[in-house]
Order: sequence, then C-alpha cells, then structure tokens
Amino acid sequence: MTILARARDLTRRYNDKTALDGVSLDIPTGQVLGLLGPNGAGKSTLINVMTGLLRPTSGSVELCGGDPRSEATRRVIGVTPQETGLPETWRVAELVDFVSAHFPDPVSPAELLKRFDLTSLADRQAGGLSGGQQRRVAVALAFAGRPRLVFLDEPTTGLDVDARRALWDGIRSFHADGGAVLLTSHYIEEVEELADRVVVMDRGRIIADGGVAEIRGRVQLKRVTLTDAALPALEEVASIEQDADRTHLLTNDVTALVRELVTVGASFTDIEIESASLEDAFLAITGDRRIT
Amino acid sequence: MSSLTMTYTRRNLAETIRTPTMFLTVALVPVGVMLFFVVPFIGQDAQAITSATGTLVVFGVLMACVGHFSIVIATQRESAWGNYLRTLPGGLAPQMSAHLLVGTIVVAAAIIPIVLVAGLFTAAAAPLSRVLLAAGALLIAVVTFSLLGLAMGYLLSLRLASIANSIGFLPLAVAGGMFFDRADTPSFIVQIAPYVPTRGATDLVLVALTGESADPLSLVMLAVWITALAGLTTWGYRRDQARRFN
Repeated sequence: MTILARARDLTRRYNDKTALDGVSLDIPTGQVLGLLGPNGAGKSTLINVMTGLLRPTSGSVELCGGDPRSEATRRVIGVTPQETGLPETWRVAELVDFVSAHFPDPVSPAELLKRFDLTSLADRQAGGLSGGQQRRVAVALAFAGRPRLVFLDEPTTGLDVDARRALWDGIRSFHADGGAVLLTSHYIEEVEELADRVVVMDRGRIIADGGVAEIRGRVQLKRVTLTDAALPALEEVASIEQDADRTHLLTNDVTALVRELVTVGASFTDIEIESASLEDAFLAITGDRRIT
Repeated sequence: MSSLTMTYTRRNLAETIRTPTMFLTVALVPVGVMLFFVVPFIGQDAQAITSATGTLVVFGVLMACVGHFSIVIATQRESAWGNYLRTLPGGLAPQMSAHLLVGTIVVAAAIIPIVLVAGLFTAAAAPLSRVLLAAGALLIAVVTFSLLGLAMGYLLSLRLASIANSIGFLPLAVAGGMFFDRADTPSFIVQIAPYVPTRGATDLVLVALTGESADPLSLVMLAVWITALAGLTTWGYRRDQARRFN
C-alpha cells in the first residue's frame, strides 16, 4: 500500500506553547482517517503543518512523495477554506470556476455542484449564504481538482442533518473512487460513518490510533444527562460535569448508575442517556476531564 | 498570458467593482484636486497647466496603485481565503500579473478624468508623440507605485496599511516636490526630493511630456527604488508563507 502522507516527529511551538508534540502519522492511499480530540488538542495545527501552511518547529512532512509546498503536491491535495473564509462578493459558480482553473484536470463545475447539492445556489453570492451553505461550498472546493488526498477540518460543524448527509455522500463517493481523506470532527457518528481508522489527539500528542471498531471496543462509556440540583455522591460515575443546571455523568456501567439514581431518589427530569463521544471517553480514561 | 492570470484578473476586477469604495476615491480625489486647486489658478497658462497635469496624473497613479495593492494584499493576507489560496497550485506569477493588470485599470480610472479635464477645459497642450511617450513613462510610475503598494501589503498589517494610506500620500508627494513650482521649492525639499520615488516618477513623465530637463540623480534613484521594492515584495511574500495566521 502506498503511503500518501508521511509525518515524522512533528513538533510545533507557538512562543512557549506546544501545539504539536512529536506527532508521527502515515496515511495510505484510499484511507479515510478520522482525527478526534478536544479543542486545542492540535488537530488544526497538524492539518496546517501537513498542508504546508505552517512550518513545523521540527520534524518533517512528505505528501505524495514531495514537499507539501511544491507545485506537484498542491495539484494532488484538496484543502477547504476555513469556515468564514469565502470572499463575500463572489458567486458560488465563480468560486468553483476559480478554484478549478488552478488544476490540470478538474471535475466539471456542474458535476461538482451537483455532487454537493449546490446547483440551486450557483448564482448566489457567498456572503448571502447561511453558515451551513458556506461550509458545503468550502468543502466542495477541496474536491475540485480531483485530489488524491483531501484535508477536511470540521467539515460538518454547523450543518443541519440533511446538509450533513449530502456532505457525507460526497465524501463517500470520493472514497469509493480511491481517494484518501484526513477528517477532523467533533462528531463520533461522523467518524463512525466515514472513517476506516481513528486517531485521537490530546495536548499535541496522539493518544490512540486504530480501526473504528477497535477504538469503540476500548470505550464503553455512556453519558447520562439530567437536571437535579442536589445529587449525592454516586459510585458508578467516572466523571461529573456541570453545565448551567444540567449535570453530565460519564459512566462505564449505565445500568448500575440508573439503579443507583433510582435508589438515591434523583430527579429524572429531562434525563438523557447517550454514547459518550470518543473525546469524552479518552479524556475520562486519561483522568484528564476538563470543565468546559 | 496564462489562463490562470486571466482568471485572477477577472476575479480581482469583479471584486474591485463590487466593493467600489477605494475605486471611487481614487477616481474622484485627484481630479477634484485639479478642478478646485489647479484649474482656477493656472488653467490658461499653457506651459504651467501641462506640467501640472502631468504631475497630477502621477499623483493619481500613486493613490491608485498604493491604495489598491496595499489594501488588497493586506486583506488577503489576513483572511482565511488568502490562506486557502496558498494551498492551491499555480504559484506567485499569475497572482502578481493579475494584480498589475487590475492596477492598470484602476489607474486608468484615476487618470482619464484628469486628462479629460485638462484637454477640454484648460490650455494644456502637447503633441501626440509626446503624449504617447509620456504614457510609456507613466507605465514605469505604475510599476513603481504598484510595487510600493504590494510591499506595504506584504509587510504591514491591514490596520497599518490603512493608516499609511490615509496619511501617507501627501508627505510622499510633498517630499518629492510634486506640489511646488520649480522656482520656489523650499531648499530642504530640493535636497531630499531626488531620493524620493515620487520625484523620479514625476520627472520621467514630465521629461517625456514637455521635454524639460530632469535631474539624472532622481531617475537613477527611481531605478534603485524599483529594484528595492521588487525585492521587498518578493521577500514579503516568502516571509508571509512561513508565518502563522490562524
């Protein structure tokens, strides 16, 4: 299997803050890699270093066998502008034409618009689009040049369910054609839907790396959320987080926790039980739950 | 011209026209200065108004090029979109060529009104051959001031570039002796003017337009400025690529 991206011992410091701390990562052809981690874990810095926007303090990056800044490399990678980054006065079709013009063999603009469900927005100015629509345009632009490797930083943040599904379909069809993706996300479901492999980062380091099932298997955490101002100390709780009047309990044994809640007479107002995100899980496991 | 250059030119032009604040300022201010402060006083003195027209055209070019490029580049540098452009293939050349082409168009918007006013309402006159020669000389002024704007755009933040734009033109013009009569220019200005790029650019255009003699020193210094500003622009662009923006 050919390695498309090879990062070796990447370290990046800003003044005295270390954003990346010795990260090594290989992405083979055709793999969708989901990168998870809390805010400030170093995900965006890693993407910016790998796409050549930032120089690493030390370490090296090789994309498709070349320097990330070289002309040959830029032709085969796809990157998205950041969330609010589209020039406001440009129409969507103009943006797509403009980006396509940089590549030797671009996807036809009509096809690209269709693939990301943007055809009806083609004549609208970017500044007049909703945040979610802008996000979809930004993601579509990453695929304009028929890249072999695409970097997507939080592609679906702020999208409604339909738009998210449309985006997932676009990414899947790219994957089916053999394209590789490095994807960061806050949504465990998204990574489960799309990724072949999951890498979890925290504090500038990679703390877990494996297949989706493997990572899930290591994590049995559930998140129980309820409204009760006066909860006593509970035995089955791995960690507690307070968010306004809502209390979030992370637990490894949800059945036992619910029994315990019944026993102590806790209020079940608006109780919710859901799978903890991988972030929750790893932070709980590493004993590093930050109050956010 | 590569098709990518055309693409950048079309986009930059559309952007300029859709948000026309800078464009209108550049198109109205120099001709306004001419109408209110020049034409009423020397409008019928053929020799004086011809020189004044040449000088004002150079001033228009200064405003157009510096105003346009410094803001466009500084904005692009600080924006997420500018960051994104750096991940696309294509390199520096098409972007730079497009900036120069659009600069020329903005310049036309600055100088055509001045030339029209001079031709229609004043005694200014020059043979066609001299006008064409002056147009060639003006192209060098365009290149000089475009490079100045680009260098400012790459080296200053958007805030500083905006401040420099609102206070910088007048000192540059005055230091270059643009708004003085040759005969009664203060001696301090006479001393420094040859080393200021506005002097060389004005001299070059006036030599071509009226045939009056120019200080060779100011022309040599103009060449030095062009070389230095081109170097600064390239260096600024490279340094920009190595920096962190988000």
